[in-house]
Amino acid sequence: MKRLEIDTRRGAGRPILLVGLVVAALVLTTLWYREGTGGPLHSMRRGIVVVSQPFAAAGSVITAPIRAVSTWLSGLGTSRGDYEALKVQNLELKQRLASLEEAKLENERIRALVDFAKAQDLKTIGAGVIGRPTDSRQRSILIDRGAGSGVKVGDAVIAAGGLVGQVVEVSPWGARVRLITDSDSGVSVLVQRTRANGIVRGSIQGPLQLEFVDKNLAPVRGDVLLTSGLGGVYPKDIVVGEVTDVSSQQVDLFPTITVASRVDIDRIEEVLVIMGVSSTSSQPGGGE
Amino acid sequence: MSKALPAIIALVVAAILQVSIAPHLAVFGVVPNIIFLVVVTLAFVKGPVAGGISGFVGGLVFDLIGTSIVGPYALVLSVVGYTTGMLSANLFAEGWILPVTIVAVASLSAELAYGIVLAVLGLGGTFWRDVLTVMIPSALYHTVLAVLAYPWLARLLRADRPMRSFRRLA
Repeated sequence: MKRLEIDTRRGAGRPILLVGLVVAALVLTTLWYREGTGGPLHSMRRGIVVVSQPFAAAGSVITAPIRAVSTWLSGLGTSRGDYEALKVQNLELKQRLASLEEAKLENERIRALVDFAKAQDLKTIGAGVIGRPTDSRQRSILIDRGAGSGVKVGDAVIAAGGLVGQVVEVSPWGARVRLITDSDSGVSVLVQRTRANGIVRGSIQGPLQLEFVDKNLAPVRGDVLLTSGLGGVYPKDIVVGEVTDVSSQQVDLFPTITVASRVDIDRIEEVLVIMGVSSTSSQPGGGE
Repeated sequence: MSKALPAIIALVVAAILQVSIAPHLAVFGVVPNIIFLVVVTLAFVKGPVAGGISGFVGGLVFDLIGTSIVGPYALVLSVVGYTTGMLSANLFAEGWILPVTIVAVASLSAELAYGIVLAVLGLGGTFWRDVLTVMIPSALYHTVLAVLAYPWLARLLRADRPMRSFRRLA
């Protein structure tokens, strides 16, 4: 009983403290919105990128054996569970290859990927992934190239399968990349086959969503999406992903389109940072 | 200062673990929030003042290591830390069941509040989908981690009142 009395006094003591903390947090939020990228909070975040980089890299090294075992186990599950699905997919792929038009598009797509940097005179630099998303809502990675290597805020980041994201913070030796799967990310795209424009947005749940596409120009499953270059944030013609599902109700203004990235973003190990685009310039800021 | 030192060390270690180890412990995209676990434990063993202050500091660090705006998680974790401290101060608890239950409730409350704040600011995804894919899984994950970590954390942070057994932690 004595303990209860003491603890009650201790607990009931400082409502003013709570009010002060809440006000301080609201002031910080307002300050974040109002200050420029050179403001104290933005500078603190850049400092955090610098400080956290060695710890993120150390974590990546320490957990490498665990990840290897996990990958091996998940691979075992896939080979058994998805065997039939892969057979069906193989048939579908054969049918697609049989079509001359599709083969032509695919050829262009592959050429666009392989010769991308060369054809558009892109200056790229390879980087290793040293840090992964630190919470469940935001999707960002840390890479081991920063301002010292010429990386700057706004640079697009790609991998062998297509677009990965955009650099949002830079330190001398590293950079933070907002992934296209982040819910704050938006990429202006066009459907390769129909040339319809839209915006690919990330989501906390995982799959990408293609929004604002004209119903008459709606893509079908398997259609490839490329960056449109509009807005000047991402260079044109980078593969963003493939349409995996399209659904539309009569009352919907736009169809609901689900997109899958060709990049295994959760397991990505190396990326290319596009620096100094000659035809379309990169600009700092958020998504398109 | 000497009284606050264990709490400061715990928060610094939690921040380091959050950027280094936590991303690799993600299960179905749900990343454990080690800073949250430390703040709730601090609140439970030290009371509402320590809970509120550590919640603010921990939340601010969590905001800064992310990519979204700074401030919302500091707001949420201040309130959750303070409230958890109030609960611990007004409850007579033995064993680990009550603290772990409070971690579960605090985690769900924090996730819901954070989701609401983000929705108000026009950020985040579809709220009800987030409840199913992020908030509830996070609360479950944190509860499991609390079962494993709370006894050790509480023992470290309650240096002023040594404990002989995990049965009498709270």
